[in-house]
Amino acid sequence: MNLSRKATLAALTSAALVSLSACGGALGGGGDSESDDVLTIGLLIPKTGTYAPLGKEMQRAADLYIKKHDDEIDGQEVKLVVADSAGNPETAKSKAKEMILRDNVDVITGIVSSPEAVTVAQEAEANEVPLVIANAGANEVTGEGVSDYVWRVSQSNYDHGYAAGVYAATEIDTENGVFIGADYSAGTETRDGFIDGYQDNGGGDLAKEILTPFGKTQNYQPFLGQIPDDASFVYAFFAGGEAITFDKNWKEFGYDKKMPLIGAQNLTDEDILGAVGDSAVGITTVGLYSPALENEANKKFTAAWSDAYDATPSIIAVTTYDSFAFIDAGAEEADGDVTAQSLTDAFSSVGAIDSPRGEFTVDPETHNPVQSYYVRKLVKAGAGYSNKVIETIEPQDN
Amino acid sequence: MDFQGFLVNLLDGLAVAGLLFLLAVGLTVIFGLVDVLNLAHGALYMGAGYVWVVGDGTPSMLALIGALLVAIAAGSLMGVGLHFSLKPIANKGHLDQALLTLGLAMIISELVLHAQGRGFNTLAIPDALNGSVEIAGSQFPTYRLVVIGASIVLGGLAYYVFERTKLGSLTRAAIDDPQMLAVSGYDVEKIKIGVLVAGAALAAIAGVLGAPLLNLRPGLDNEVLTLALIVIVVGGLGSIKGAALGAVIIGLLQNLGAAYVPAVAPYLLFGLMVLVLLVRPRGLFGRAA
Repeated sequence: MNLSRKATLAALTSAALVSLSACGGALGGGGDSESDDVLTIGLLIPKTGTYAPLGKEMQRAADLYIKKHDDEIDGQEVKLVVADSAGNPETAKSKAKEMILRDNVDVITGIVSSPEAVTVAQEAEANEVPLVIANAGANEVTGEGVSDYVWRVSQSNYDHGYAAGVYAATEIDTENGVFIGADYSAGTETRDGFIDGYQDNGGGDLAKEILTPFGKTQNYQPFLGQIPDDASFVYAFFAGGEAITFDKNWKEFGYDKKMPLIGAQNLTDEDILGAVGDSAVGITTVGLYSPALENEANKKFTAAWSDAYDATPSIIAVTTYDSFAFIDAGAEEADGDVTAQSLTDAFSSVGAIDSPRGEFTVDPETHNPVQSYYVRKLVKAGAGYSNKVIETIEPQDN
Repeated sequence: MDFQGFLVNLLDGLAVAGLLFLLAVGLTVIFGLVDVLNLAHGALYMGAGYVWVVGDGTPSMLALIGALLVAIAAGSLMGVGLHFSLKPIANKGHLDQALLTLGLAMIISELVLHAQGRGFNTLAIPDALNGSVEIAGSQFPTYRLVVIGASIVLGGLAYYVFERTKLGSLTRAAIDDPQMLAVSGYDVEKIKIGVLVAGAALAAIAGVLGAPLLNLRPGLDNEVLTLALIVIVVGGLGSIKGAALGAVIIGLLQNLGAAYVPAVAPYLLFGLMVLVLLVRPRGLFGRAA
């Protein structure tokens, strides 16, 4: 009798059984999806998994906006319906459906990861309920051929990659650059934007592109080992728990002394700095916001955030806050009864939004934001850290 | 690829191997002696890791040592618990035992996740062990060296006890011929409990040591269990030497594979397992049936 065969069988059994985790969820009965005096907003966030910290930040931003506006948006009482997407596109899709059919939400916002954005956008379009993406960057959901119902206040993966490419080519080096990032849509789309921005500004081909298995990599050492010694810089895309691990490994294996690291904003985002500690100091990132920005809206926002949570807001906090500002502005434009449809129609005429990141508009054609990007360097500041703004990249025509 | 880079890849692979060994050694000896494939081993590992975050999560040496002690104690208790829960189904065959330990695994991991949340935890390393040392011109994290060292020491100890002491020869005798040992006046059950306790405690130690390296999150239990199963399939069931060699092979294969042939890296482990099962089904050091 072959014992090892039994071992394998048992291992497979265990894997199969464990993966049979909860799915489904009842579809509640009817109710009217027509207007009432309540504006119901569905907040779809990961409360579990790699991106759970980002989901928590979204929840805080939503709570703060609603509290700051006395539970009202455009004179209507706000009802927030929160669901856990677990960062999984299929779960996100079924939760979105549940929100629409059972909770009769007027609009859905939240959405951390790109694969979720794609499936939830399908659901929004199919059910004619507007979706305002507050983080996920999946290129395909905005831009050419965008659904009437899908809007984004954060950025596309391509756009922030492009801005970083502009910076790398003009300020760092036009040769021997290396890309490393998580192997899923956000990583590869960010890379594509980066390469275009880099090459449109005189940069050459990248010396190497390194992709790491998304959600499965707990140790970046073998991938760091693939970086050529003569690389002039590394541009990295990681988010959430992966960013924490990457930053630590980068420093532990001495790469901070070997070559400059440019990151997407998530690499030194405020919500991971506590866990990363000093490992991230000195990393330069390109992103749409920094709490250190000096404008009126930001001063008010950072003060309110600090009062409420005794913390510094992260980028996702701002984009989520802005998603509510965008919904608010849309509700005002809709004038009178706010329904899923009137809100959708009104989003086209929402003009500039006075955001903590600086003024930005959501393009009525592409449904994607037009905004400046900031080059930020993480420095120690008092007891904590600050993403010091060292350069501004004006909105790019790409 | 240059030698420096290779050395770093090699050392890092050994750190992973160290963790895998501590996990697999208990699994393999328990299987050899008690004839139970303990599928709760991964959950023991994970549960012990979470002990570290029970406190306020400060990365102090005290927290690390405290977590180790608590984890060893809890792991030992689990070992005893495992013994008594297996007793009623002692002669019911492997499938029943697999289902029982699988059930235990689910209970343990769900309880842990219920208590600690289903989030993603990265752990900070105590200051004294944080930082890096220079090895042949490359920087290498101190903590990973500590993990390598600890697993060599613990592995050496296990090997010494098993091969060179009376306790060890009784254990080996209990594996080979329990009836004869019982007739000679020894309490085989006590030996079995001892092995379960030791195996579970080693898994707990691995769980604590590995927490900052593999991050604490849902699914960790099955991930490490699968790796440990591959280790003992490759190394051979019931053999400490086999567990050690299997762990080194798997640890290095994982790291060097990801570093040098990333495109095929995900298939290497299972490819090797299939190869071993085809060519030498009892594993490299497995005892002949």
